[in-house]
Amino acid sequence: MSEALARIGHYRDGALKILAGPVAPRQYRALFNAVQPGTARVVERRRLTDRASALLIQTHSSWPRPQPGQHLGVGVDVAGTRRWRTYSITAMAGQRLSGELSGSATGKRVPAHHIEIAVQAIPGGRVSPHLAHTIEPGEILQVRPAEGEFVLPARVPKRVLFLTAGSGITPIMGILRHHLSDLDQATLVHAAPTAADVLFDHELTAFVESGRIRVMRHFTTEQGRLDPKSVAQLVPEYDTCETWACGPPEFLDHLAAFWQSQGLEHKLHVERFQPRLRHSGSGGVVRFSETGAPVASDGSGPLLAVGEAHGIAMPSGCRMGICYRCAVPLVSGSVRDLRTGEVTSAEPGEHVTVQTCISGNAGDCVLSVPPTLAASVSQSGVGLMERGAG
Amino acid sequence: MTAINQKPGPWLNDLDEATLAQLAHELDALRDSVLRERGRDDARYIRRVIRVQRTLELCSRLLLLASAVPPAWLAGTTGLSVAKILENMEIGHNVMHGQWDWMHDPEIHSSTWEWDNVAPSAHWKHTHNELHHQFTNVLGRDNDVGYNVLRMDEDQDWTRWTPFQLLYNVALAATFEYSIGMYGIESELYKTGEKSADDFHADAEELKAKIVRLGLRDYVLFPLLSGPSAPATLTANLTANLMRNLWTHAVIFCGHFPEGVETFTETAIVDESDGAWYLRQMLGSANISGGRLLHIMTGNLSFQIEHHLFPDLPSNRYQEIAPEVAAICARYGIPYTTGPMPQQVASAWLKVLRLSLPNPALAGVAGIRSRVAGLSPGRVIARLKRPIVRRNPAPVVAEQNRAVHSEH
Repeated sequence: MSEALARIGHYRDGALKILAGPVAPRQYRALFNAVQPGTARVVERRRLTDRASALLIQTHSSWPRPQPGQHLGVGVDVAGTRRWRTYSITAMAGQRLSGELSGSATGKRVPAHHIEIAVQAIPGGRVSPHLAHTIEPGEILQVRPAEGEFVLPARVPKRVLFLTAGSGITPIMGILRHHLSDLDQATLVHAAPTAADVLFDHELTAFVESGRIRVMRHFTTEQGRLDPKSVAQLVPEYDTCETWACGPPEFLDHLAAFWQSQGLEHKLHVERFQPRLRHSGSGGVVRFSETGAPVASDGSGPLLAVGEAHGIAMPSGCRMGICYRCAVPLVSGSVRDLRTGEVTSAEPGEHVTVQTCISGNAGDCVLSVPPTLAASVSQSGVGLMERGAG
Repeated sequence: MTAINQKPGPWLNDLDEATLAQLAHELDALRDSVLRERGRDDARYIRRVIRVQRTLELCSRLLLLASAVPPAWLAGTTGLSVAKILENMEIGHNVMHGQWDWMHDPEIHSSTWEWDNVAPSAHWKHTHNELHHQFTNVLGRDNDVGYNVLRMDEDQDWTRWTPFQLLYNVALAATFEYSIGMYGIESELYKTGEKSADDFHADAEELKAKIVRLGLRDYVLFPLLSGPSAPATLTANLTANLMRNLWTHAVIFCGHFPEGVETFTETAIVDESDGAWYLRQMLGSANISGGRLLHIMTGNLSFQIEHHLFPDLPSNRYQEIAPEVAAICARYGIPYTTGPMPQQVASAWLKVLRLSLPNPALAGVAGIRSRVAGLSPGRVIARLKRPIVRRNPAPVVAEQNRAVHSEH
């Protein structure tokens, strides 16, 4: 019986595909409801600080429920072009947002199939200023399923230390909102330039009032950088704690080195969280597939010619930038349009293709020449990309 | 009209390399100015067109479920025809050109778009983007339309089939999407051995699969869903596809075949500079003048000249740069061919009719006419070519060239 139903469902889906074709049926469903699997709607933007906002986002009901501390890929159209960035989830369905923030005394709960993320604008950034300051409720975002290992274990340790700097507080907010009642003698040391820069400041105070966590704020403009030694002074029992840390790369590098020097590296859990620097200079290393051999190129000539000179079977067409026959995905890195000088960059997951006949590499880049064509030597893949903001 | 490099004082050789470089510089700057502004409003434009097109298609198809009621048939068929035209012209053609790739939206992208036309997108992108746009109006290289089955230039051979080419063109127009589909599998290249058997058969299979899929949709499933209205829905869908075929054929004929548009030989494009390439695009294309609705329904191919200069600029921008392109043409004495649609269509069809005669007969006709009118044969040919509206009066030097050119 259920088999028969499944078969009927199968035929129905096939028929729908043909009826809607060549467009996918979901494209017609999107006429009625913009929130489809893989997309989400901005419901509310709330100011956190002068530089940061929290966004309440409605996801599709099929979007898998995240774990506290995880992050997700968010695709947002900025000036018409889709950019992907990664943001930590600061609140999930059912959790209470602080009264102070939502403007009511009790604080409202995050509705079902909603999440909250927080975005701090990075000066000169392309995406974060838009999300923090100008995106309007109703706008549609692309969302990937949440991921990440920066989560508390099922059995929450007795002594927990959280070390955060700047927007590194965001995954910890997700964790604290969920796990506050699981914690007992927890400590949070948070570094920010000034008191006005602390994200979720009022909520941190509310957490303290629960008696389950103490919060130490470290203001770097007055007290200098939060380094491992200051942490050791502030929290002398740090070596007995399971520690979760998130912040800029040097902050985490210093912590990791210190914890290692103490033989405590197994007690330190780190979430890297970094705006990616773009190569805007010319020249660098080109790979024609993610596992391809590196090829040095000064960026002055088209990638098509560079690839062909190195025996790669590059797709090609008009060789003058009009037919798009040579276009291949840009996996990561930057290329320059040799006609206009315009630089195109790709974050992992962005759907960026570049015309190799008119593009030179601007710094390092990785292309994805179709595997049936790429005849290059296979070797280890590119390094893991760090989480991006910016 | 003969291929241009065989004429004395031809257009392509008329401007020296320094002038051509200057021309390229000006056109590049124009392109850059659009790229600098391209952004949110453009993205909103194409998304709006897509939304309108899908809404119209959905409503028309729903209306046609009751197509046994004549007003429903009429409204549904009209709506579906318009939706299909929008889908092929303003959306499909332009998306597949990569005009919207900069949005980095995988759902509106040249690498993923499949259109409502039996010619698979991949075939089209090869024959249209790669061959036609690169070798615009180069005899023997550009087979975008006509050149395989129609004699559209004096330099093409006259065969015993040529007298009937007006009829071929009627058939071509009515079945245009199938002609494009057949043309896309490049059977003549397979016959000459330039295309491998594997590639040819794979392409033919793809074409067949798409014909079946779209046929199943328009001629089987939707009629079946209409129940008692099934026969009426079948005729409605046939009509909508016919209307789309006739319209797209007309628009494409207006783009490259009205009198005044030039053709070129392969030798003319050897070592072609950027400026010469731009020049060939302008000489080989013709615009259609009209209102906003016409421009959208033609997919902005009413700005064929601008489209051929900058095939990957968003189509909504062609109208805005058209005055600047016309001004550049005027400055360099390059003809900028345009005219209202009925006139351009008539001009292209007259050319089909005229060239169904062999060259000696053409001269004969011209001779008889010239005696009647008391004009030289060259003048008469020039007159036959009349439906050219030049938006800008060309400078004197160009005027002289045109006179020379008309004589041949």
